[in-house]
Amino acid sequence: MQTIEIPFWAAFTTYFSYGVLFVFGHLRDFYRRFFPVDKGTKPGYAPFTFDWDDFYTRRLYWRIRDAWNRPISSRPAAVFTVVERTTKDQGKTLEYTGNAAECVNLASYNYLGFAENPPQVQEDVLDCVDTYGLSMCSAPCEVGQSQAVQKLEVAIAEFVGKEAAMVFGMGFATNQCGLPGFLSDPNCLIISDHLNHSSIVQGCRGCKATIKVFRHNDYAMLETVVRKSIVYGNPNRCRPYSKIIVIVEGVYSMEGEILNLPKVVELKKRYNFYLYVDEAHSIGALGPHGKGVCDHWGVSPDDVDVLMGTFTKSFGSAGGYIASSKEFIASLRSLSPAYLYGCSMSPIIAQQALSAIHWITKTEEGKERIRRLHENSTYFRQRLIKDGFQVLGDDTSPVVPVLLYHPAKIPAFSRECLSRGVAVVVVGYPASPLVESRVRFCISAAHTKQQLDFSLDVIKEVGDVCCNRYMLYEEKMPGWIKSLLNSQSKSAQAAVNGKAKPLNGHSKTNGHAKKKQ
Amino acid sequence: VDPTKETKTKLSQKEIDWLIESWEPEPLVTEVMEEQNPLHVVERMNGNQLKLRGMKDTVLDLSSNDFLGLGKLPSIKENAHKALDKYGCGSCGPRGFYGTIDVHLQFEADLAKFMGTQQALCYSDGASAVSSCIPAYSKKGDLLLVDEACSEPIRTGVNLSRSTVHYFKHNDMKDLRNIMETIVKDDKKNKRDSLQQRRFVVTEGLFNATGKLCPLPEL
Repeated sequence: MQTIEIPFWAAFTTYFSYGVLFVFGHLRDFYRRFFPVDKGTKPGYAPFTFDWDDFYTRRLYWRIRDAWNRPISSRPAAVFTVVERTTKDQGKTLEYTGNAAECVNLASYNYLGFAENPPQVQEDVLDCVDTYGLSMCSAPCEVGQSQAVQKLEVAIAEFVGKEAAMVFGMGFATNQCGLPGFLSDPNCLIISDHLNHSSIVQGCRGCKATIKVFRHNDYAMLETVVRKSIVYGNPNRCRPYSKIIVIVEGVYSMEGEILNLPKVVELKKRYNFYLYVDEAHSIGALGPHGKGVCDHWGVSPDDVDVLMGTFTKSFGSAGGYIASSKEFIASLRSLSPAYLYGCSMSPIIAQQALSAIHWITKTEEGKERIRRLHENSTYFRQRLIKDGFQVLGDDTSPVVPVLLYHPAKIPAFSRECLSRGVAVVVVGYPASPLVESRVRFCISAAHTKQQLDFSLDVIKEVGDVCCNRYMLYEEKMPGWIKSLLNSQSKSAQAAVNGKAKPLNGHSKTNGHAKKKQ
Repeated sequence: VDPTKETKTKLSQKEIDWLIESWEPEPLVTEVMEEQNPLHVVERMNGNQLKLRGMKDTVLDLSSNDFLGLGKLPSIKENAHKALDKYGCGSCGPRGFYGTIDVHLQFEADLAKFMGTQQALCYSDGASAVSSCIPAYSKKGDLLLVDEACSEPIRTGVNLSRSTVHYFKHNDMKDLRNIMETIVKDDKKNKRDSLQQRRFVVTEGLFNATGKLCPLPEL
């Protein structure tokens, strides 16, 4: 578990800035009470949002919203075209200038570079359009199951090392519709990492099971929660839980950390719980063969009960899969709403994922891409650490978050990088804790060394403009100031640990937040 | 010691270890279902003729929901080819993080014009569009009046929203009116301000379950 040590000065200025923003926001709201703006609410109806519901959105997010939802006008390859927008009224309306800038893409989930298809993959996908049309327009249990989808289910099961798999049309819906499919027992316990993605949170809420949350990657706490749950059982029913399922992610998209799978499997074998690993970011990106977090650690896939993943990130496609034993998948098909009512995956998307899997397992270039992704991630991360940035995550993880902390640095970093030709993703509350805003880089196998070096130079320059090379400042600080601030920073750290990471259930994500199509 | 009252005795380490060792979870799959093979696997679609696996001749498609047959038009297939060549297959990111492509925005503008509304939003999956949209507007404390025959994604959305739900009989406007009158009476009795509670009626235009249209003018 990585701990984030906020430098004292960063903590002070961050809290101060949020304080100023909140005070000004409240002053503006107070003024609006006397001179209200027409929100379009019809007379006799309740408004869609009340004062407090969207305070953060109206007073904080709206001012800097040009840093998100940027349209592009090309494929999301290593270099893409970002459409330019301006605002004349501090973010209320955004206008297109008519220009578009070519930027290095450090934002898209293009880990193995399939946004730019190799010719054979592209040919297969175009053939599929002629064979099937655009969509089957039907549920999988009716005439929605095309041959491409059938082959994909077999291929992905073989790829991850499981007996059978079921695919879904959308990555988010895989968790949202897949989890209630097999967790319908109300006497079941779900223990979920507190930084799990909102699709898992929504899926768990759709079940009737009890949900408990453990601190991110804190396996000691997980063990305590499991022990207490087994010993004291379900307090509402005063009987033991029928089963315990622990849900974790392979790579956490905002932290860049890789799951410590051997540790979790050791706990699983000792306490007999079931394990569900969400490999949305790790499939294709981790491991010497690209087979995800099991491959990375050398753990047998039989030790994980359910492996879930998405095709959106490493395979340049869309949709997701759940892979497990034959009985499990058969039961999931009968009980999952996606199989019975949802529209099945489009055969074009299925073919793209199928051809991508074939490419990375059977061709030399595919294997070379996996190796290049790991090299690029490690190189990029090491260079950023050398340049003095506070970088999170593990070495081979293709997700590289760098801490910003300060709310004003969120739009500043994003805009400055864009003006210099690098497109980045900045993340604020509620996708990350309030004071731990960050910029998150996604490395791709398609990035060349020149592109990475160019981006690193730009990031270093912008880091100086935005003053977020915190490790560098720590090094250069005179000793007496360091020891004075050390005592201050310990209390600041305690304050941050107390406030910034709530553990009462999952936090409400999906502000300028997370992925999964 | 009163035997009717609950007592919480502290367990010894030995008892805790014994409880942990003796706990046996149920199997992950409690009911072993027969392999739910899809009814038909489609190998090829030619217009409205389907070639199914294991059958020599093609069959007429009376199953899929492609009502206007637009998915099979050659001009649309050609545009799909062009889009795949220009933009690739996947968007490689959510809408907030450079997953918004100019065609998405163009499509939303055209859709809003077609539907006669101010703006429109597109989602990648129909079922999760509904189940995400309902909790976005209706929160805890709000009221939802939902038709009984509404499909499963609507029910998921309604459950996720944690709002108060009343189901009315399928397409029965009298039942809906009765429920609404009861709620208004309740309002006056409990002095609840109707301007503080968002109220929605959720129904389908054309019901998937029964094939009927909703009585929109009365509604």
